Amino acid sequence: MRRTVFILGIALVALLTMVAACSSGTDESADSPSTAPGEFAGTIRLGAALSETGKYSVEGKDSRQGYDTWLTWVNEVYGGIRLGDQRYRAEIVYYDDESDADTAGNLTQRLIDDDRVDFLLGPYSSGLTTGTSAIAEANNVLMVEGNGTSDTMFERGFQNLFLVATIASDYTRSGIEALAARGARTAVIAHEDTSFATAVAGGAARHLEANGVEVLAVETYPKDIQDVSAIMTKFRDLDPDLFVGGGHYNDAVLFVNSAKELGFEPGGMLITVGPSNPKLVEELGRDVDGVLGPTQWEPSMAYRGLYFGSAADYAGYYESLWGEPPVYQAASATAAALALHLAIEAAGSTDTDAVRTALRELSADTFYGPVSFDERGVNVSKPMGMIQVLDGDIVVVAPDDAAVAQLAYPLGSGTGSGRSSSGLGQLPQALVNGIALGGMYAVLVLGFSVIWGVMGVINFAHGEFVMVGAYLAWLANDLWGIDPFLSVPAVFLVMMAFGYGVQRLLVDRVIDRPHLVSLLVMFGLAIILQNAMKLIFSADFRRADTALDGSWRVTDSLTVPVTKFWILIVALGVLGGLSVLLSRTRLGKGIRAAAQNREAARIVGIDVSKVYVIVFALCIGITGAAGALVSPVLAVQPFQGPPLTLKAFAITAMAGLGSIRGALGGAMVLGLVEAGLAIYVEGVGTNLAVVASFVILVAALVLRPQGLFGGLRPVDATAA
Amino acid sequence: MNALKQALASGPGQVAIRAVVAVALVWLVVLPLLGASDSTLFTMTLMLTSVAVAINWNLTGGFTGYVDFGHAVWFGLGAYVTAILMSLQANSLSIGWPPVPAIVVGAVVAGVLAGLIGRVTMRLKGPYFSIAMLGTFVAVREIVRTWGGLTGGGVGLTLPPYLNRQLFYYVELALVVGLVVLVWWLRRTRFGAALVAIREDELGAQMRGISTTRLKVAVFSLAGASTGLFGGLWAYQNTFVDPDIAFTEVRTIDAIMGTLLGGLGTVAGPVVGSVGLYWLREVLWANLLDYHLVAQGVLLILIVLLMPRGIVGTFDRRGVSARHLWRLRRRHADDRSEEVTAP
Repeated sequence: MRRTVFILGIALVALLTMVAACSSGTDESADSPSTAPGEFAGTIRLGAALSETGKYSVEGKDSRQGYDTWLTWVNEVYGGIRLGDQRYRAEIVYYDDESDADTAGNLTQRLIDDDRVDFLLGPYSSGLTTGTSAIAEANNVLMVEGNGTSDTMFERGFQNLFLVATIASDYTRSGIEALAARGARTAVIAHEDTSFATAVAGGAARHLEANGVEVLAVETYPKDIQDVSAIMTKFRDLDPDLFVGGGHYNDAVLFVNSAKELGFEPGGMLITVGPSNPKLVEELGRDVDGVLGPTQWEPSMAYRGLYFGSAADYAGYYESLWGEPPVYQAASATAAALALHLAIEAAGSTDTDAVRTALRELSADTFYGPVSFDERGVNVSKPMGMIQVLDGDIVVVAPDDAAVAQLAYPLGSGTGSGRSSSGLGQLPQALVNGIALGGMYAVLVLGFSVIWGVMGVINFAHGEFVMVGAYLAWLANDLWGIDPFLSVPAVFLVMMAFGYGVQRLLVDRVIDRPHLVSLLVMFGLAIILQNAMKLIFSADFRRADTALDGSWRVTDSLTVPVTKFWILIVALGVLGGLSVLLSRTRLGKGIRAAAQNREAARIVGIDVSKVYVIVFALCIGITGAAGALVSPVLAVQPFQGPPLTLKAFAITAMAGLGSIRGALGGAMVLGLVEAGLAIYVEGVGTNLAVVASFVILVAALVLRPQGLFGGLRPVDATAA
Repeated sequence: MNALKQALASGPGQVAIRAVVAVALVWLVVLPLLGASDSTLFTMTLMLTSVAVAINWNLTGGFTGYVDFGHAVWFGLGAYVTAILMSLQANSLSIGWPPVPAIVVGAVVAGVLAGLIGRVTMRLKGPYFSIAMLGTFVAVREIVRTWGGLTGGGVGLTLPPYLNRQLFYYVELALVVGLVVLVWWLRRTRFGAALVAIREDELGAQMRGISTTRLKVAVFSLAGASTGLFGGLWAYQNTFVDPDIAFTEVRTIDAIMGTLLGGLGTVAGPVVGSVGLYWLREVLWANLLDYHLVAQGVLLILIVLLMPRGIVGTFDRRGVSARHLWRLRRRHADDRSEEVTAP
């Protein structure tokens, strides 16, 4: 009791100092340009929580540059916000919300209470805006934003939230109208199951129907998806005029690649996020030609306003400040701040009610397009644009008054000929997809399985070693144009050295400690690797190019993806090689002995710690090489690891620790189950495939705790 | 150092510490009356939430030694049940429940599901249990995402905004104090001692007639219900749930890190550790910005390697758990002589 009290005392003292620190550290103002006193009659203070770190860090940075473009302009060019005869300096207080909802809410509250901001500018993303706008509403502070467009947050009857951008459900409207006018009659939809993407897809379905286009199928998939071949297989057999899909930049890459691989050629591909980003063209080259996408704003649009001049003028000003052209997220942010600015001047005060009324009555032409808000607070006068990639250029093709080029439609051969499916239906393609997936999983889990089997260490950073290997291959590909299939041996050696270092520095210290210790140490290493790679390479998705791409078309409804085929071949080679090493060599004998009984192995003269060093280094080498191998297929990004670690665990625990046969068998089972579910379950099959590995995992552990295939050591998962 | 510890633990020191605790508690209670801003209260409420989740995690992770890598699933379930009940609609008329019963039902549902799932997953041991729970967490998140009719799918659900920071602060403060007292009391009962026995030697405990399955599932269910309760409160304050916001791995990670920093398997450890972690993060966050997640990973490794007993364990060499195990032994006339320590 005494000690508990003592320790609680320490906690409370720490807590007291923290609160003291919190409340004293609030008068810091943001890094706004300092101006000479006397020039301005006062300061109007705005606040924004934006993501500088976390998953929205890229878009968060664009949003911040957008706000700062307005800030620099209003203070240095425009001469301050005008209230009557007085000029007021504008200031923006920024905090980093870490892309986290709790943090964003907390910081918004802090901006209102401690920084006493007059107005709020929105964070990036619909999820963060939904939470923070409720706080703005409850505290009666206006929030104007351009980058949270989900419909749900405007159905809550809030009085203080205003959106300058087009709302999510209208993203595809102008595009669908243009396509329907050109004769599109059938469509399929695939969307990420997140707030924003669902709203976009729901709107698309409505607009399609309103324009007489039949929706043949709607498929959802979870975010961070790595493989859409099942969805595209289903769609290919429906043979629609239009494909509408998306949710995330990476999805766009997957859809374009997968459509090409599977020979799915709809008349038009309208992808909701990605095509307006020049990176997509850079990454996919010719493959992305003809792809359509909505855009909030493009520098080439014919809009013009009193301030900033035309869209092109704005883009020039932005580029002079930041050294890069503005993406639409940045323009939306600038437009949000500008709309607020116009309303403040119209109201002639910073009073919330007066400015709210002014916002409601606002009707202005800007570089961003016309701005006027309906009773929900949504800008309904600006239509969404649609771009098309034509010969590698991103050009606006709809609506007519903003278009600079003619819409190219239909593309390819897919003009509703109606495909006759063979008697076997989708079974052959499901098998091919499943085996291809299984081959990838096999080589990806091998290192994890052997380390666990031999050393008893659960390598929670396994996925991160894959990620580092993938980055090495991507780097070699990007810098020197080396094909990832060729860089596999070099990556193997580099990662072996890395594995040696990790073994000596960390694993050696925890190998005799309880499982929890090694789990947590490896978990800490995973966090370090993820964030270090993110600092070095940013969170952008990358992909290595290989000469072994494309697909072999066997029949109309069966194609074999070339890259995945070669990955399977290499995977089988690696598995075979390791199998020979373990069963036929002296080293392999030693490894097996150490796995079966460490003490006995020691007694018969095997240097067990040396065996561990070799096994760990070898396995990390294989794991990194596997990462290099799949770098043309799986997006290379800092956070690709955790799902791979989970799959590795599922496969290993299911199949048997350290069993090579088990790794292959388990990987094939998982691959086939995932591919089968995704193809045969309508609508949510791809979501279910994600759950499958865990259901298999738990079921296998509980029902057959010794593993399905046996292994180097018993799985023995059941508690006493 | 030892002298210092002895001085701290001696009579007059104890009085002083009790006084500090009393003063601090009083200060926590009157904090809103002293004019603390809503944002300070909100920060404190979020911290209380993470303290509570860490205490609950420690019930299974620390006392019974079942390291749960998916504990945040109960938080998300509590949040979702509360949100579903509060945003119920019939013929587009709101027939949403009032918050208190909605939050209570959320906690009960989380507790019952924890009991059911625990019966299966707690048959697994060590790392298998850990990963099975991580799998449960991911699977439940996907089920919530897929079951759109009930849960609003990926779009999520919005709640009527009611942001009385002071009320939430007091409610959570009272609940956390109650939770600490409950755990402290539990720890002194035979039930608590039996939990530690499960951690130290499950088979041995079983052989001595402790119904280990019943006990560990019971405590797992209790922890789930308690975390679900705080999940419901969180949903009400956040006014919005979607699968990725309600089910976030960070909550589990923070609970584990906070407990480890404070001291695994101790009553005060999760409290000290979570507060310390929150404080550390404010410091890291302010000064390191881009590097703070890397620093957090380094910190985790350092804690595990250098301070395996945590702050509490480091200051308290004998360890609460060891003392109680000894008592347990006497009761069962055990003759085991090896020193039993916290892992």
